[in-house]
Amino acid sequence: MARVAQLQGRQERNFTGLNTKPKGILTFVSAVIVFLAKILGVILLWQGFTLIVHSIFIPTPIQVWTTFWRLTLKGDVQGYTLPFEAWTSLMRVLRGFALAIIVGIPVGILFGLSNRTYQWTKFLVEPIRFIPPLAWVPLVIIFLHGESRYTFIIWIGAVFPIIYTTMSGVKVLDNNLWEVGRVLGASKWQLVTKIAIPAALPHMFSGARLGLGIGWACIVAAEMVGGGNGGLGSLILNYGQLLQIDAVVASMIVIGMLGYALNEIFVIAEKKLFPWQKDVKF
Amino acid sequence: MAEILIHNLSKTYRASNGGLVNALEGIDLEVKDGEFVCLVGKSGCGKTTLLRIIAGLEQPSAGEVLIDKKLVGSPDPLVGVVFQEDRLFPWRTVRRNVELGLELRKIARNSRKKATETYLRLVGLEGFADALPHELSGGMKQRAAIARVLANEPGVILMDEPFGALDAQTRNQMQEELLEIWSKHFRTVLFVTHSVDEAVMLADRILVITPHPGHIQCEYRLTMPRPRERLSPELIEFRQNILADLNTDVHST
Repeated sequence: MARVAQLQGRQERNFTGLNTKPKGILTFVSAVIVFLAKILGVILLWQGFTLIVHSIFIPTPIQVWTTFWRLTLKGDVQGYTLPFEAWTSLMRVLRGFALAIIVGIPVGILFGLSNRTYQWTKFLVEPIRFIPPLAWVPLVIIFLHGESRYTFIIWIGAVFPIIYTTMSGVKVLDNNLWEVGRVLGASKWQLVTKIAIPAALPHMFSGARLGLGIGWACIVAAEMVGGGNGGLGSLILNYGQLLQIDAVVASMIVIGMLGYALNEIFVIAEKKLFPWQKDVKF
Repeated sequence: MAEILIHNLSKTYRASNGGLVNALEGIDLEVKDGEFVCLVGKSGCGKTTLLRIIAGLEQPSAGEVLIDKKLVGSPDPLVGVVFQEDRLFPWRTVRRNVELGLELRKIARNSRKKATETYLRLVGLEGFADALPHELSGGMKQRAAIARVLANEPGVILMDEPFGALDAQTRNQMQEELLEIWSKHFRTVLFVTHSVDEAVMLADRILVITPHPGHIQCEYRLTMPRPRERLSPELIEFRQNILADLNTDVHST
């Protein structure tokens, strides 16, 4: 009971916390101070850890910080700068992601509307869903080349969350709204286009956000494939082979931060586009 | 303008435990053109099922429903339904919600716009036309739902406890507004409610429905002019009689 109350309390705080803007300059300043203090805390812990476990493979925060700026300003051994690598990876992810939306949303709508289609194709689609994107690497190396290799790996990672959230969005459609459509004289086609699809749009958007997150997380796997130059994933692999862990960690942090930023952009857009949706975004 | 005729209607369905439930049995009902009829009964007496059958949302097990001498088999846009929940589309503005029926029937944009404006004004929501439903109060949402049905200009309006989820004051106010709309536009209304108080304020005729199986127990005709005084001796007497009828079922079982 207490646990449930605690959970509910936390959710409520989440809703209000996300919807209310800082009331004045003071609240804003204190929020910034708290944020900086939290980051400082993490850095201190990290520094403390490097002092206790003394190893050349555990870089200190300062080492990573200097490497980060060296990579950003001067570039790596091949001369590519960190922003360029990040841009290269981002474009690859967005290409695979766009293709995942083009395929995932129509398939999700079809599965949601026709349970028969879903049940008939389930034996094929479901096992493919559980094959990790990494497992496709050898086949991708044999059959694809150039940038299309990355597109495929990202695509296979991103497409399934998009299919399944879209499908569940269409399936959970409020029967009440469906009935309103019927009593107002909607045809079958209108029920789909005017009710089922608009009602599922917030779910499709969430699916796209989850898909983008997974696609982004697949970037290292995708760039192991080779085929094009640069990218944050290949940066990690190259420096990993050179045992320059400070560069590896700097790239890891950039991947994490960019993924976080992409997700936040989607969350903000969702709140603006679907203000009536009250579910928790993550 | 339209009338409703129901002949010997029954509805049986299979309960989850496998047994058969008689939800409605031997319903005969006639609602005249322009009449305001209330169906009163406790929850579970089958009144909502009856309304859903008239709306064409459910099929009767036996018997038939005729609206304007036409057999009802499926929903018809000219039979309007107002549900207990507002059932507005959250992604559409109030205006676009009210417009929905006309849009689905592919009415030309110009006449659609005119009708929408008219009915928004009628329910007093012209200032909220561009708001989204989640920004409105419960009473305003239900007004928008009523405007959405009126915009289709149906001959019959079926209302399933439309004010059931509202607070007492809003509810009284909505009743007055509904009577005003009804007196101006004079449509046939079949209004389901569990509130005897609400029924005596609104109806020309009240049908009392009691369960096991759902059937029409008795009928009252109310001829007092509207708006009615909530505390008049006549209404209090009607109220007491109807409440007594509703409770007969409890004593017999």
